[in-house]
Amino acid sequence: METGRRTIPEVEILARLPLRSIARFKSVCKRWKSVIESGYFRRLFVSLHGNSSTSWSLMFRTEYLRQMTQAIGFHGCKTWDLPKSLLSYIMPFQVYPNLPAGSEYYYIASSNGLIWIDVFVSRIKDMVSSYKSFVGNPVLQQWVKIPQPPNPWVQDKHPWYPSPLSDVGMVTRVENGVVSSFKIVRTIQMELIDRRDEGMYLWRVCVYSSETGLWTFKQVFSSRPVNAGRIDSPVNLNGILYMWDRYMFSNGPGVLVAHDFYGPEADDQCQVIPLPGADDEDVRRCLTTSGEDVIFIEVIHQTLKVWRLNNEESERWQLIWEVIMPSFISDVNCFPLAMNPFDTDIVYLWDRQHGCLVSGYLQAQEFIVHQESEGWSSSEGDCCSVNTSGTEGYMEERCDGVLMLSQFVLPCWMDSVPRPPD
Amino acid sequence: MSSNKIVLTSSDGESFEVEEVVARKLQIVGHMLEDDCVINEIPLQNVTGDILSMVIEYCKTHVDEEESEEAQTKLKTWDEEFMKKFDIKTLLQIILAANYLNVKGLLDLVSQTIADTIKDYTPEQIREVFGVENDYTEEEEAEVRKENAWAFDEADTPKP
Repeated sequence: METGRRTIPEVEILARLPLRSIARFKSVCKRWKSVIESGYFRRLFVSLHGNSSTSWSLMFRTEYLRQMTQAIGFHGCKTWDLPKSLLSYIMPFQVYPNLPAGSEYYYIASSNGLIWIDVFVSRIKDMVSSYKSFVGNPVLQQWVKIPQPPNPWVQDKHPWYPSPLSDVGMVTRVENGVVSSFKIVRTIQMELIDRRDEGMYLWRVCVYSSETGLWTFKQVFSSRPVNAGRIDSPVNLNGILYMWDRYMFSNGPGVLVAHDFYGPEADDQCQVIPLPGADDEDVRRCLTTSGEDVIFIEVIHQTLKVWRLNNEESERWQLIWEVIMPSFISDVNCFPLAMNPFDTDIVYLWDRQHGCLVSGYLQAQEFIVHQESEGWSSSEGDCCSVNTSGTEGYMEERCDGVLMLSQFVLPCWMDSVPRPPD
Repeated sequence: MSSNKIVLTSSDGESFEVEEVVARKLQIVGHMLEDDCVINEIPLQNVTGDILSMVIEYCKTHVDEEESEEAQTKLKTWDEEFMKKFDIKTLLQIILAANYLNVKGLLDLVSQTIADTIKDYTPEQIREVFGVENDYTEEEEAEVRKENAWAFDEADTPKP
């Protein structure tokens, strides 16, 4: 029996604050700091906030000489209580606050709250090596500088520089709810090594792991070519990268080429997963994630269909939504962009004809057009901003294919970015 | 339910006669009643009368926790209105009492209300309100602030 407790239960109060306040109150006194940094406090916080969504942005992989762009950003979550959108924590890039004008910043990929940024200090020919990669959490401003990858061509006397076009994507490992390590993947070479039957491709990659702080080479075989990272960031979930390939002279949905970069060392095979849906040049498609699932969305003839990827070989894709869209949304110009990472009821679409973003609430079959670039607040009071002009720029040349935008989702606690050993 | 009356007496000698079901919402009282069934007057050394009357008001309102959504919504609205009456100093008095008297629902409610009130405070304001002493050296404090610079962006100027 507990009696006579006469102290203010500070932990009960602190655990109900958003992370921005908690981080600030570490400087109140030493005791508060150690309470906040304890495992007990982290668990209590997550148990009180774990069910709510966190701030997130839907990002385009930055194209050459374009601005870093988020199609849509939600930053008002109660877990973090951020005053501005996630993009404004990335840019200006604080690792190099005083870079010369003309420096270029590239958003490459995201996984479990970490993002991968490339920075070109300048494009002078002899200074190609002034190009640098960082992985980190832009809100906490914790960055790991990635070393230059090694030269894969041992016999070649010429210096070798990695091309930004060879950036593929990022995967992470999560242990007990904490991101314990990340890997980033670059293509060295893709070649057809066997022309018989459907062919066999050899995908040579180098992989940087935060566990070792080193780049290692790997060879992966695939029966379909790996089109990694030229325009989009491959979707990643649970250590697996999902890339897309089409069949030549076909309007069909094509296939996903997937590889588990946290799988067994001996695994050198890509999995090829045929996509579902219609074979028609007017189909608009995207690959995205929600919760713990890979999601595929298609829009054709005013119908929106959503499938979830299953692990069972027999029924790979499970149709979870089939919704008729209202006629005010132009059909062939309506591109599905992504699903809400916390809610399989909400999809985001781009209406290219009217140049506006559309939220689709699938259960209610309700579609809301967002005309303005200015923010709106959702029912949960979650501040949202839409970048219409930026999205327009990125979407004007898209037609067929499978869109893969990057969902940069903050984690539910301010865990440190995994650092390589010194 | 028993309609037994219990008298609760505050540290400054104020007495409140409440029904036993209300008094049992104070878990400290519940435990005493289990220990000895014949008690009908309980002195509460650590709570003043004005704070105890707030706690009793909360317990009276929450005495029948109905399951229906309508009742829940009504209670939630009442909770919000109830909390609006108090400034931060009083809230801290109530949380002390709720903690000592062990009233779980009120503890959760006041914790959340205090959190919502102080979320934009500076560390200096927190120290003042909570009576916490700053045991950092100047250098140590500067270091902690630097590590958490992102959390200070627009909160340096406290809101009134």
